[in-house]
Amino acid sequence: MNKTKSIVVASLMVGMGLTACNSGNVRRNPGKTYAPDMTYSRAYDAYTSNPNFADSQTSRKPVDGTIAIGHELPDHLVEGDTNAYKTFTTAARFDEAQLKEGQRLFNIYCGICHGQNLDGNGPLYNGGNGKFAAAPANFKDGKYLHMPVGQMYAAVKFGKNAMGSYASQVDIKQRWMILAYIKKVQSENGGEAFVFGTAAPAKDSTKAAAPAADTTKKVAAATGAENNKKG
Amino acid sequence: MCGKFGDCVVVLPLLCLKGTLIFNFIPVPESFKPMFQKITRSAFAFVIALLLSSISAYAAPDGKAIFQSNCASCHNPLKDATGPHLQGVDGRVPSKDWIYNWVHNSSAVIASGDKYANELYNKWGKTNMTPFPGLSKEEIDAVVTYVNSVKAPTPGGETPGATGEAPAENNGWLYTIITLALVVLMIILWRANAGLRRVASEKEGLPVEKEIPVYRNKVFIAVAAIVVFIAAGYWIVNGAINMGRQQNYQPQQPIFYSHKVHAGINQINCLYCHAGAEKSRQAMIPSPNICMNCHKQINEYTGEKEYPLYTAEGKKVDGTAEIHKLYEYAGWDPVKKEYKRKANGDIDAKPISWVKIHNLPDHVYFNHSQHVKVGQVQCQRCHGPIQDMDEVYQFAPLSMGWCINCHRQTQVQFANNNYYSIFEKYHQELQAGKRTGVTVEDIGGLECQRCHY
Repeated sequence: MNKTKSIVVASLMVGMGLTACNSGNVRRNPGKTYAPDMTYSRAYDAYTSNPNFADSQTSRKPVDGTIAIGHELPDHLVEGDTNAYKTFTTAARFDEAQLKEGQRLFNIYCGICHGQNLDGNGPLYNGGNGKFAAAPANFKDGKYLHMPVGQMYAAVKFGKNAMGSYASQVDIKQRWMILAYIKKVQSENGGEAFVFGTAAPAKDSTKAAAPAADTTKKVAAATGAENNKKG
Repeated sequence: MCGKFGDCVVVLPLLCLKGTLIFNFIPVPESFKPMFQKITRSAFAFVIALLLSSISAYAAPDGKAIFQSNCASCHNPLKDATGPHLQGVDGRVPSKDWIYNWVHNSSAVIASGDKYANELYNKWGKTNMTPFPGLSKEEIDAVVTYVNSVKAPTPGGETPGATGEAPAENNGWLYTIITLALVVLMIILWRANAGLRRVASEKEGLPVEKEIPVYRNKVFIAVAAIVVFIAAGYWIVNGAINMGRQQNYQPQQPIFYSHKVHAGINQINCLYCHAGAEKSRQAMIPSPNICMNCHKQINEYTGEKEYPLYTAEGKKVDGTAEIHKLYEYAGWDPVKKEYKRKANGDIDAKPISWVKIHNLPDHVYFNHSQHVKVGQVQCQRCHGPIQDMDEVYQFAPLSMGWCINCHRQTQVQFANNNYYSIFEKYHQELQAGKRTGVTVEDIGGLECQRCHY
């Protein structure tokens, strides 16, 4: 009978050992690999820790004064220079596809606070019931309706009050597309006429100018021409 | 005992054909013959039944797996998402064939003027469902069976994924217990039978052979050896295939950042933080300044009651403390409400060392923008229900077979996409109606050098 006993004990121990290996459903360990030096790159990848720099980051900022291929020329805005903000603008003009892209970008990066209707009531604020305590700017409201586009640009680049800087998320081209979209919507809601459209605004004006009076149209034409001269 | 072990293994296959053969080779007491025959037969029937059941489990399509890899990015069994919820879909639609046609090519069903199809199309924002011509009828049936079996998560309970898995596990345990009970019963009956036989023989004065203990019984050893061999082989092969694959890997992160709270409950777009996903190879891990866009203001977690946070092990997490961990990294002073500065005026921040979850080996090139921007692939297609994950785990196996399968099945958004304007022949064929769509494979998505260079 000793043998039977020892067999029973051995099988019990094996069973217990197997259950001990099963650590539940959570996999905290990535496990073993066939070729660790291939699976885990030995070269410094974008996010690997790097002993060559004090902050251990491999991704570095571009060298001062350099521009990456395909990127816009830098604007020369300085944080806090409120006079420069007011006259700052762009020579770029945007067609319908770019305005649509601007809307898409707005909904991703701005809509969460400013609302997809641009009424300052995004899901995070939610009429004061949301997580974000400060009311975001309502672009259809008096103060922001007539805000110079350069001032808005500065707010995107440097942040303003409760709003942080979005320079790391949206590049210069994207910023202007977003701002053009905002200005387009504002022009349809009593703001200044839209001047960032492309040279062929036939479609735009029929769409946008329904409630606008004739006078604003003339102003639009005039400012548009001025801008073109400047550009 | 060990010397004759080899004989047993050689002889056993013959036993399948004729139960008595084995006794010509191995000396076994005559009176045990019928009993051995019975036992060996039942043991073999048991092993074959096991094999058959495992084979049929492979052959029958796994509705859950098909649903997760093809449907889950747009459909939820219970809730309306990009597309309608799927539970009870077989009761809603006109006929079963309608489902097959719809899944294989929904635009053809709409074009045919089908009333229900057109209502559906108009109700869901006139967006076409991706066609899945590769799914067989059995696979579609399996998906329908799966979505009908999903139960609503209990209020305040776990994530839908966890409850979805629970019934399958319960069934498995049930079968195991029943099988074990039957085996125990078999042994008891066999022992009782042997005991009775011995008593009977003693009474009749017949000579009683000494009983051989079960662990020295050669037939038993042979059967056990084969079973162990099959099980170990299955285990080793599976283990070898899965080595290096990290599906379900869910590491502990330096900050308990819940994607469920941010992307799910608060509806923040994935690209808000991972802005690089449509611009570069890397999806971009947000730097603390992006967190601080909101967390300058939001300095406590207010969802403790509705959405209490738990680690995957079930440990309670203090959301507010986690936000304050972020402040440490970002160099933010929550009391003074300003950044702590170093002597040279720089913000006294340090990078957060997040643990990388999705890891592709060095010899595989993967580019996020190529998939997100050019291919218009939804994040959830590869990352799973990220909006329901408190702690992120690796949803996809990230195996090459998985990549290739998607490249074969997925139709790229070909029309109005400048990235594909050079494929003139395909555009002409599409216009002429010769082809219904262009898969990634058609534009070279299976070429080795696409990913390995």
